[in-house]
Amino acid sequence: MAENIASLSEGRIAYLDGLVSQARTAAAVFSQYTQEDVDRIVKRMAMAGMENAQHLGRMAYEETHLGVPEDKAIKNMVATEFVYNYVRDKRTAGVIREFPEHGVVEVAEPIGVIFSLTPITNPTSTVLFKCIMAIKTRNALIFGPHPMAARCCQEAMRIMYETAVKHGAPEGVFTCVESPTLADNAYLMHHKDVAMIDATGGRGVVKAAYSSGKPALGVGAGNTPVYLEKSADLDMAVVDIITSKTFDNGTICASEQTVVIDDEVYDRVLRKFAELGAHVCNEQEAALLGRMLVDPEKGMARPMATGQKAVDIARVVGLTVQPNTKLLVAPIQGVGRDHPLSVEKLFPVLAVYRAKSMDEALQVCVDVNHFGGLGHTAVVFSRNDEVIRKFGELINSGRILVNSPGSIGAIGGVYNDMVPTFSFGCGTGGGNSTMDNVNVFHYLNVKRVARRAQAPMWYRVPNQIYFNRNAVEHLRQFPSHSTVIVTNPALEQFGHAEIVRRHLPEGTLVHVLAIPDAEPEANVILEGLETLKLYKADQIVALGGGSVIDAAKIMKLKYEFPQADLEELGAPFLDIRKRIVQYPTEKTIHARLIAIPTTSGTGSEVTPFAVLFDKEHGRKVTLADYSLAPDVAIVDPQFVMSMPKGLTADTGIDCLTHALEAGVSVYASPYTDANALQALQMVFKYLPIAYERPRDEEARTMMHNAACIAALAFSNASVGVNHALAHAFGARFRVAHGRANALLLPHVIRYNAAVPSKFMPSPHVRAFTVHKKYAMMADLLGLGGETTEEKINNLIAAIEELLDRLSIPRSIAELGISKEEFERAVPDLVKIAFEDPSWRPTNPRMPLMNELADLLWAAYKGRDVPKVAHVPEPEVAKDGAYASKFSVA
Amino acid sequence: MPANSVLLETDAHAAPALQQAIEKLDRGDGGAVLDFSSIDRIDPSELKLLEKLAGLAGDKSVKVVLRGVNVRIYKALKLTNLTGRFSFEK
Repeated sequence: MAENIASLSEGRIAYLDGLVSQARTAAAVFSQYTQEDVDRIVKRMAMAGMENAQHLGRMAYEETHLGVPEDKAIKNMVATEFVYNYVRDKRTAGVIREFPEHGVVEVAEPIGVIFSLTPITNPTSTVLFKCIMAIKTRNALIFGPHPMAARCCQEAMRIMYETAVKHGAPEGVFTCVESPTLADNAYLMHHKDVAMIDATGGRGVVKAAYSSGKPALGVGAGNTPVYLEKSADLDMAVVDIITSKTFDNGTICASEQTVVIDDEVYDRVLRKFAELGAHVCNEQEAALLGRMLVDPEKGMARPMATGQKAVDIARVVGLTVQPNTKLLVAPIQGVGRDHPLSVEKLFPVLAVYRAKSMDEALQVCVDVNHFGGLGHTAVVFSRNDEVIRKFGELINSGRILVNSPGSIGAIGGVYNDMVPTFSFGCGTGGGNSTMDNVNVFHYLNVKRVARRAQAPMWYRVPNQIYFNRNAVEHLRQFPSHSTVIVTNPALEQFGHAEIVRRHLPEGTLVHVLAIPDAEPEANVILEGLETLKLYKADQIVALGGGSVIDAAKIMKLKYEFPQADLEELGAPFLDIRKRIVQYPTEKTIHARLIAIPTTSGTGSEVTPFAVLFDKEHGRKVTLADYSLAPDVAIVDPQFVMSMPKGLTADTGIDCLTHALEAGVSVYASPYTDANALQALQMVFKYLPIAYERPRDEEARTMMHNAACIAALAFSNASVGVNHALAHAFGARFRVAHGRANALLLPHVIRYNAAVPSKFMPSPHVRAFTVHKKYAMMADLLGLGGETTEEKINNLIAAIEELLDRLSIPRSIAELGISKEEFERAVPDLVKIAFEDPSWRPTNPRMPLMNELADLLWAAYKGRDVPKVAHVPEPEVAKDGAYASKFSVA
Repeated sequence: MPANSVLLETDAHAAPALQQAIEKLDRGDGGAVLDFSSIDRIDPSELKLLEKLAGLAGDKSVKVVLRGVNVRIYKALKLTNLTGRFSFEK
């Protein structure tokens, strides 16, 4: 290639540079045009093409001596009328398509200067076709015609150019290389101002285009296999094949090359060929054709026969045929270099193969397809849909035509609804960048203007929540034949299960299943599942803390969806709406799940989450799906009146963490804020009282409600890194979940409130506002402060003081965990926390691994003594209201 | 307006003013300001004149200001690498 360019004279280079400069100027000017401008011009060009179709067809024939002038005229008509018909309503300038439901608009950007190589076999039609495409897309073309078809190409281009300019196209929009040479082509292919190469032609041209390093459309040779299956309409098939293979004397590269015929119909088909003017060769004649027409060295047909009439070919090779013979049909026994006539033959010689079975027929078609025809065109004649489907699956062709001619069928728009073209993409099998029928959209850069997605949000909660003392009485309204109460041994012993039993409708068969009071393991779930099956439960009452309720949720899941794979359902996900694993939806049975919490913190009675402990790997598996949420929640404080102080503190802080994390979540919405902020106020007011005066019924009631309300918030807004770290740390060191949250909480707030090193990549993040949200929470709690920073400090100080009042240790170190032991654990904890679904994608700040480690170490070292805020003794309003009365010290 | 520059008005066609500007630069009469406010679109001959003008301005080391160029014309100039060779004014 470089040698070719070196052979160019300075004068020739200046000439070629001038062509490119002219085209570049035209392309730049053309960029100003509108859709209406180009549509007006294209219509006139198509009309001019039609008017000159015959003239150009004859000219092409006279210059190339290939094909049939009448057929070339038809091709010119297809290249103008049919192509115009396809492009007339297509938008190719400005906005070309809109997808309002996706917020995406496609906008056309012209390519610029396209260097277009055109073939000898379809010279004028290809030029007409490409001119229309270029104007429609506001591009400039430089034609490099085949040297043996240069005059007719120039004439076709002249007609198109003059018409286009007359109707407003920029001058210089088409140019054509005079007396083109390979060196010219090489120079233009590498020219810096040529934006793309569109090479239609032989393998050499296509390869050169792709080797240039420019974006290229290079579409070239084929070798069309045809399967004529025994169920086909034989009369139609034979006429179609003759029509196609003799069209322009076989110069269209999509024309039939080898017809594989089922044994049962082979003789009939050959007789029909003969009846309709084909000469069916005997073995010796076929061998003669092979020897004379195919170059054994190159393994390709000799150019001398290309586009010639059958009778002329017969005469040249010394074959005696009838004077009106239109096609030479030559039986072959195989495909490949040993069977010369199995190559592509752009002339009216057709190879035929007798197949003993469908499998053999398909195999031979695959062989032909892989013998120079990959990606191009294939044809099947059959009435059997299964045969057609199988052929379509096996053959690698961009155009697989059914019961229609190859050449005219592949062009598109005549025998089918494919896009009209004179350039057949052959995909990677043919070394091409496209497998399409090349069309205007290949002459465009399509830009996508994508609007920020306003993802629809949700607020999903159980539709029945009963609260306050004696809410358990509502159990009576739920009829059941068989109810299983899932609880733990201690609660059963306290008589809580009996209270529930008493409130179930009369006649309900009740079974109590006491499970360990710990995060459920697989064996507990299986045991519960067997119980549900044994008693044919139609109702499950989960009575307990988060672990019991979680266990019941998972039991119900397995009971209703036996095929549910818990390990798979616990797979990590980024967005619950797009996750890989979907929860089952086909229930085998429906069992109502009623959750009655006996702690005031987890909110599991309304959440769509359940945590399973994976004993084998020492980790917690979080299941999340709204199908897990209980059907009914009964938030009755009588079940928490006897909660020990430590549990009150830990679960209360869990509730606080839910409110705080949901409040600053990326998924926070006005709906969840209402819950989160309400719960926040209630916790600050009533948690210290519930802790210090455990029998205070109002404080217990309000804390029980606060836990449920905070859960309504985080069921929809989720939580954040506080929970992710607490899950990891709690599991490793067997620290209660609420306590683990408490140890991290002040540090996480400080971390989240700072300008992040990485923002969370989410369309829901519209600004950096988390610090303001914390400040707003401080305001709501009446903590004072002038600046946002002061307010955040006051919030943290108030939380620290609350933790102190609840006797929560100040640091992880205070738990008796040595620094060495913690240091060993931190890498694992960071990894587990990062994988935890709690923070994705809802934490207001994208956590980095080192930041998670820093947070763990901050919690290890412990929180500061409160310096700014002082949380006064809360006053319990007589009417049960919970106005904030905090002030800054 | 830069010192020693002459404002050349254009009507619907830029070619005459561009030709004037080329002659002015050729005479060594300093730079030019060309008002494109009334020009909606340029054609290839005008683009060629702009290329020539840019070349002359470079040779004579004078400034040519294009005033009121709409963004479609600006993009056409960009596609031919001409924007860096002119100054633009709103």
